[in-house]
Amino acid sequence: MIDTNENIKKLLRKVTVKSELNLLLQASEELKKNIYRSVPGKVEGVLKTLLSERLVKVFTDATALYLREGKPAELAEFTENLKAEFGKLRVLKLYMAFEPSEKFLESIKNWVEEKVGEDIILEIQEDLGVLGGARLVFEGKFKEITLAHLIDSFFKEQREEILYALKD
Amino acid sequence: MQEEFNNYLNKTGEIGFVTRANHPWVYVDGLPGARPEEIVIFESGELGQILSLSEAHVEAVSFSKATTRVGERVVRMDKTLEIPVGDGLLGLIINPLVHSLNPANPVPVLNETRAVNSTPSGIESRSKIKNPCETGVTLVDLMIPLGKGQRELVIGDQKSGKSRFLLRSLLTQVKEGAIGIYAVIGKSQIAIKQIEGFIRSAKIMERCVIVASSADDPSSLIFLTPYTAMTIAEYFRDAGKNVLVVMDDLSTHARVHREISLIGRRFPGRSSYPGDVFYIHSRLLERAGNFKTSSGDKSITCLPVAETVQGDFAGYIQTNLISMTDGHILFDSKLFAEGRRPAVDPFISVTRVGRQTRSGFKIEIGNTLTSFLKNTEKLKTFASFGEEAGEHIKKMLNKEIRIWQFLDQTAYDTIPGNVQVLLFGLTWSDLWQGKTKEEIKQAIQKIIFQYELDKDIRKRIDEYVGGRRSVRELLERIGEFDFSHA
Repeated sequence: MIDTNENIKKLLRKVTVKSELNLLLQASEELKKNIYRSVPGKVEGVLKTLLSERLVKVFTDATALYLREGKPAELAEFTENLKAEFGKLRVLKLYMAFEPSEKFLESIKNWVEEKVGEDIILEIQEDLGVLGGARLVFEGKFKEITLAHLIDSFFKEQREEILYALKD
Repeated sequence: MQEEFNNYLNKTGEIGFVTRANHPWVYVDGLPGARPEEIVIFESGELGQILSLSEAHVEAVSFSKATTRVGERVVRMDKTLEIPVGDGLLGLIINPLVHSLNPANPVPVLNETRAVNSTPSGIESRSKIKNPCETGVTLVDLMIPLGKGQRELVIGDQKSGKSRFLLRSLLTQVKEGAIGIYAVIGKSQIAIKQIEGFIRSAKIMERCVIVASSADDPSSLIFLTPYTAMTIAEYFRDAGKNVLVVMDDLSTHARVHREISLIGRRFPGRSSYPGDVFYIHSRLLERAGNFKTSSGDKSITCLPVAETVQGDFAGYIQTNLISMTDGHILFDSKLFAEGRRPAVDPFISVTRVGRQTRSGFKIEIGNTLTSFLKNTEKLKTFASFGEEAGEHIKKMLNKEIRIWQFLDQTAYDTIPGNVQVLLFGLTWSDLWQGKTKEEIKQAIQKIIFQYELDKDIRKRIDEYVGGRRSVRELLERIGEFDFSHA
């Protein structure tokens, strides 16, 4: 007996960012369309065009069990439940000045899971104006911990001193 | 704009993202601390107002003409909509957000702001309507008198002379020292220009404020227009002035509210209007009245306008407005076509609180005119049978013609109250019996001009009329005041 919910949870733990989530959704839709069609290698071929190598392996591992045990109906249920579980995830948006590496993303995800909760997914947006640090948006709340904001605040607070120094 | 947006973002620590836009409605994801009626600012710098909250999103309307982009960031401003108010608004023509519509005449910096939506004052701060509100239009002042603080609905078809009457009332009241506020709700640019043109040519602009929204403005902005006008009126009332507010027109306002509600998927009620269409007008009109202030009794007199189609004043919005006002003046397009000016039907028009402001003498004049004109209307039905009418009936019918001629006000903007009474006396007595229409017209013209230009004549008339207490007393020496021969 395959525990679909557990399977989904395992899959979600391996997903770090929202863009990956969207791709996995597309992949599961593609799989759902082809559950009752036997065209060898077709689904795998589509998955390779949609997903990165890591995600292809992650997704294939999650779904292979159903195919091995010949349970297409449960596989269909898996894709439906996956969609529902994806919808329940809470999104933490991060505006950063650079595109982080996978390792860096992994460490952020782990920290967030530990401190905030397991049902969080990251959405990274590149914004050069940030300079350093990040802007965080989570459930409508906003926090700016950026270098740009720090510099801006510094110049506002020290305006008089700077002007005085420049005049000298 | 960006700086203002960032300031509010840092202040509130909350952000929202537009997920769906159906202009003017905007559905925002985020803003956990949002409250109804709170103002929001978009990344583009445009303002909006939150109208409702749901589990999934915040529903707001944008005050911008341009459609809001999906994904645009929104920040709440932690306050309800407020407008700057002050004496600096006098002489300006502004939009409902108090931005000047004339770039050559910007809105000055004003220190005070007031909330656009405020709760009407309770009964303890209100006073009985005691002072007459002269409109300068004889038919209204004598037969359908108004009081300061009254809400009198002006209702009629398009092009039946309503605007002319409203501008005349504004002129008379401003000349008496009141502040005039004209709310132009969703009209064409030409109509706005015409209203502005009349007010400027009458040289009363420096004591008036025009709050205007044109038909191509966003519906959310048009909806705000009468509330902004009323807020400005409240400021001037509290500053110790009487105010006359004209709202032209509330049937357009109701249509705009319907449009906004239907786009926002609110459940349609009768004639597809939303269920709160009565409330949006009643809470507005309840803010007018006669109030006890630190500088004595000060009033906000309100003349809301309702348009009818082919004289149907039993429509939904029209009956709503009739029920929530202190009377109505009905403009009949048939009378307008017959050449009657103003085209007011005095028999269907009603004033609920105006008569208590008039002296017994003026009430007697009004009653005399009304009953006489009613009786002659009935007489005409018999006279039309074609039989030879008796002398008495002929006299009455001729008198009726003279009375209608006296009530006709095509040529004159306003007629002072004492002149109205004098002219009534001259017409009611048989002094002008036998005169032709043209002669009566010229006689009236002479008296009005002489009253305006000659101080002695004015003094004499004011003293004579002021000292009379009944129609009988008025007619005693009326012949002395027939200046038409001078």
